[in-house]
Amino acid sequence: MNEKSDRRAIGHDPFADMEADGWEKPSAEEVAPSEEEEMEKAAELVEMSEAPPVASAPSPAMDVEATTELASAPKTETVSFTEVILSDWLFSDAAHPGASYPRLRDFPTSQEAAKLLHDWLHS
Amino acid sequence: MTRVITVLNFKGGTGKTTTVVNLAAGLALRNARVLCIDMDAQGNLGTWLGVKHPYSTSDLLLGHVEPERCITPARKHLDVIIGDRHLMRAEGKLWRMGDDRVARRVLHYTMKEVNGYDYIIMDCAPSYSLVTENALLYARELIVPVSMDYLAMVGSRQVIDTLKTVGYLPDHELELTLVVPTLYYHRLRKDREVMAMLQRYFRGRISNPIRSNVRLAEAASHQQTIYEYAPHSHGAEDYARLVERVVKVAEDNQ
Repeated sequence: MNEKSDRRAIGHDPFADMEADGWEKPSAEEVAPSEEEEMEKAAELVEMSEAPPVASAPSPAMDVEATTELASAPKTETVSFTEVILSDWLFSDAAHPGASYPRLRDFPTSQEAAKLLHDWLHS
Repeated sequence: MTRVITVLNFKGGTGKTTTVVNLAAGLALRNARVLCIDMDAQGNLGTWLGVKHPYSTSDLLLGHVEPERCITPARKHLDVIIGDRHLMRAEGKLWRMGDDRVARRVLHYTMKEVNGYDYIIMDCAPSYSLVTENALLYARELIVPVSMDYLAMVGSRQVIDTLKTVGYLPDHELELTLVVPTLYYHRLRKDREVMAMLQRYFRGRISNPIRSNVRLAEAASHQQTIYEYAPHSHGAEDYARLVERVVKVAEDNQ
């Protein structure tokens, strides 16, 4: 990793001593995603795979980190399987270290996510 | 049963008023009966909703008039008690009451006369004061908007610390219902790091992020809620999801 990628934007964790101070961390039950959240995530992935592909190049404003990491993603055999695997990867911690929000929402629209996916598959 | 919620972060500019306005309006659109109380002398809540009224929160706290006379309709199903600069004077008078136990609970006692609402939502100033303490000792739930910066996290940490002293009083229950990430922009490393930290400590109590959206700021200047001003914007979408989450919290607890 280079110096730039090591850099942290937030240098101090203001919550770090909260536990010692009596704050109870969320229970395992709270941490586990609910069935509804799982369903929502699945629905988002389906929506993404069904979005019409766009042939034009990625916009210059596209997330540089995401694009770079996208290019180095492992390819798989079939398009449909690739889409599933890549969707999984695209919205995983590997693609967005530290991100905690559903990864699909890291893109302004599902169409943009589909466009990224399409461009990568056909590059 | 009325859900009494206070929205607080001790850092300014984290989206407290934006959250109160659009959460309240969203709940009202679902036909819930909602009352918003502005506990901030800036009076931004009334300004945003385009509401003027001769009686404000300071009149409520000082008992100048009956609580009902302080309430004014802002939208269908959405009423408001406006805040104004007189709250500063109210703060001084509360201090001079001499009995802390009473001074901290004036709102709690006064609002017992107010019925018929599904939600009462309070917008607090970003500072610790007797007025804020009145809100905390009246509310049963706490929502903390956290914008994507270090000082906002520090402000929310201060709220958590306050919760420990206020929330566990023998005859009062105040719980952290939700941490609401605001002004979120996924392309900024800073924002992703803040989200990760919030997730680490508050997971299960974190709402969907409210994405940074200029329409939200514009809506205030038009004195409209986000659903009126830009119903198809990200802001409207994100606040609609927050509304659903807030409703769901109650359903889950039943």
